[in-house]
Amino acid sequence: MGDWAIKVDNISKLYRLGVREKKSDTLFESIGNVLRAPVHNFKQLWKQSHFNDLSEKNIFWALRDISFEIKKGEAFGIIGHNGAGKSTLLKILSRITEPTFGEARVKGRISSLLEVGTGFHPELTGRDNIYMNGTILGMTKKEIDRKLDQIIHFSGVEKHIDSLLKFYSSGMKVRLGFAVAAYMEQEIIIVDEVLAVGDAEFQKKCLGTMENVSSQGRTILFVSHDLGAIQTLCRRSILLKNGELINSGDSKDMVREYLDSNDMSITQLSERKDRTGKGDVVFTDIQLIDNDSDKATSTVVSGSDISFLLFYTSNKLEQLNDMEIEIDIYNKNRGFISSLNNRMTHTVLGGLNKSGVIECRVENFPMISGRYRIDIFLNANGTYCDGIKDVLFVDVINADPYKSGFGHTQDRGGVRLVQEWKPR
Amino acid sequence: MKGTTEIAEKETLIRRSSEWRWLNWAEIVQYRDLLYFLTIRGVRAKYAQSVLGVSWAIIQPLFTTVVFTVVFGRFAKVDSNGVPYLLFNFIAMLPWTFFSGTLTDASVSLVQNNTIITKVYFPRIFIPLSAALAKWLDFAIAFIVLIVLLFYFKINPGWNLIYFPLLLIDLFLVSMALALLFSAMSVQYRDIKHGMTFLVQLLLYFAPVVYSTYSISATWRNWYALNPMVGVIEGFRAVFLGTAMPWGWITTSFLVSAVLFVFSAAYFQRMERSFADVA
Repeated sequence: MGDWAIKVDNISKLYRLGVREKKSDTLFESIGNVLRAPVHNFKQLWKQSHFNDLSEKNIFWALRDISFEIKKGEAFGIIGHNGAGKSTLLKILSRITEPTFGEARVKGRISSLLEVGTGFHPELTGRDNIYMNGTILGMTKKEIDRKLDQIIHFSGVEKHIDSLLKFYSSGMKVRLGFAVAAYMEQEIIIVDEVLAVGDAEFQKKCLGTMENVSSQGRTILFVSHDLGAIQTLCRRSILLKNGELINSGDSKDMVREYLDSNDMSITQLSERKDRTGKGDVVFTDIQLIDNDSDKATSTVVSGSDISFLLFYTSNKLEQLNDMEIEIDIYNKNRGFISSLNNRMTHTVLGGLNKSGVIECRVENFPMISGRYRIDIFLNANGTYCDGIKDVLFVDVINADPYKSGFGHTQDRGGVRLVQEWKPR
Repeated sequence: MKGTTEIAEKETLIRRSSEWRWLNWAEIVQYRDLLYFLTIRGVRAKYAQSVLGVSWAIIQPLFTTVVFTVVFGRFAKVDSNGVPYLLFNFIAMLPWTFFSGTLTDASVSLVQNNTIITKVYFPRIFIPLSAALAKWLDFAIAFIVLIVLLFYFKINPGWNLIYFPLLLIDLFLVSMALALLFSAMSVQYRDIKHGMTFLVQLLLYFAPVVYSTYSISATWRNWYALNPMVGVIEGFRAVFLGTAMPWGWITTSFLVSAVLFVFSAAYFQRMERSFADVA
């Protein structure tokens, strides 16, 4: 037997992909399609939950033959890209959805925190919502009665506890939701991306609570994009990719392997038609290089040394005497963050071949975690030649280089500066 | 049984559950507080920020009855067995409003709550069940109006009143049976949502709300009573007007709704496992 808490045995989950509708060529055919539509639609809807022929090409394996075991009292991490199957796995273990094949065993009461404040209703007071959310998470009214004061205190919204939730700020809602979750008594807690919300202080509070929970001998299963948090909290992790289990073991090794596997950032830049400029000289490709591993990537750890490689080719100009390249960095909401330009560094790019690569190296890339969009522009011999928006999306991952457990997140501003402190 | 919690050992087996299975009572009991709060939430949310608030529970059936009284009582002169048409119709409106309200609310309830369904596990039956339970408040309020009407028309129901709880059970059984069926279907087939308002309006004329069952020819009456709402509505009339209890129809109603309920609950359980995937 052994003292396991969760035992996953060859779990697979299938979904059906949307299939492109057949287009009709004639009026007659389209009338026929309209008449056939109800039968066709019915079949499509029916098939969403029925799988008979596994060789059908529109079947998608969200998870494939996943097996692992989590020990009692262990904090366990799941790492993987978007779409790797992390959330599906959590949903199966929380019994929200059923696996198509395989089985899992769970010892003890399980509670899943896939979202903060599930079941909150804007027309109820904060107090009523504590009961609503608490019972949804599997607590009884008695348990909540007993802890109500502590929950309210922990949430820090005492003054507003009897006003309707719709008058709460989004931050207050998150606090209230997390406060309820913090007082759950289940033996196993499943957490998904909860830490992605709230300000840094709040996130620290959450992490602290989770460490607390883990030290009480309860089991935690944790999914997050914050690799720092996974490393701090979980000793062991599994790495998922495209629904398959790639590796399992020490969290540090898994995070390393995850970062190394991000080697797919080759944008089909040469195919892009939405360009501005005369087109005498054009960009053909852009790559982001992580200088630690010397590999192309789209995910970088905040504070690492990176390079942008810009591939260009000249269509008309024989001589490239003076090239000016600009890389503009925007946040995901298109807020302008910064701009890199060779003229800023007094670098003349002249006497170049008709086609080649320009490198722009940035040390200690200071962006905090999030997704960034890159636009690039090119002037050659004084003429604006090429400009493309959103050539690259860069995902930056939080780092904790000082091992303080005090991450640098959105609410501490937009950039992370290298710093050193001492009394003087 | 598969996919259930064995509370004694506290070990849960997670796997694809069998096609047909029955309700998991242990789990329903375990989560009962959630049912309570879901119901409260439904009631509060419904009347929040409304000027007339719970008065709507009176306005809706009363005004419908007044309109029916004018149209069917005055103009069409529908036979109401010698009872004032207003009272005759309002007694039927009570269970009918509950039934139709439950059907319209519960059938969309799962789709409306898909954010909860896809985020956390709990007995899914609580969603349509709480929608139906919330309707009892409206029923209770409209019931007060009925008492006022009985006093106004000076009608003494007499001892038949003791059968009233039995009819309430029957009414709830019929309503839940259809609510479970339609709510489970509407997760996958949104047509239910589009068709429900229309269906409920039509059903009104298949039940003895604006007319009496006794106005149907005797040969067809018992076939007509296969509609479980016939037993409920005629039962309500007998209870409050003190006429003979139509036991035959009430028994039929119980039997039909029990069979329907068993089927619907099993269907609901069968569909339940894919709610999170298709909701």
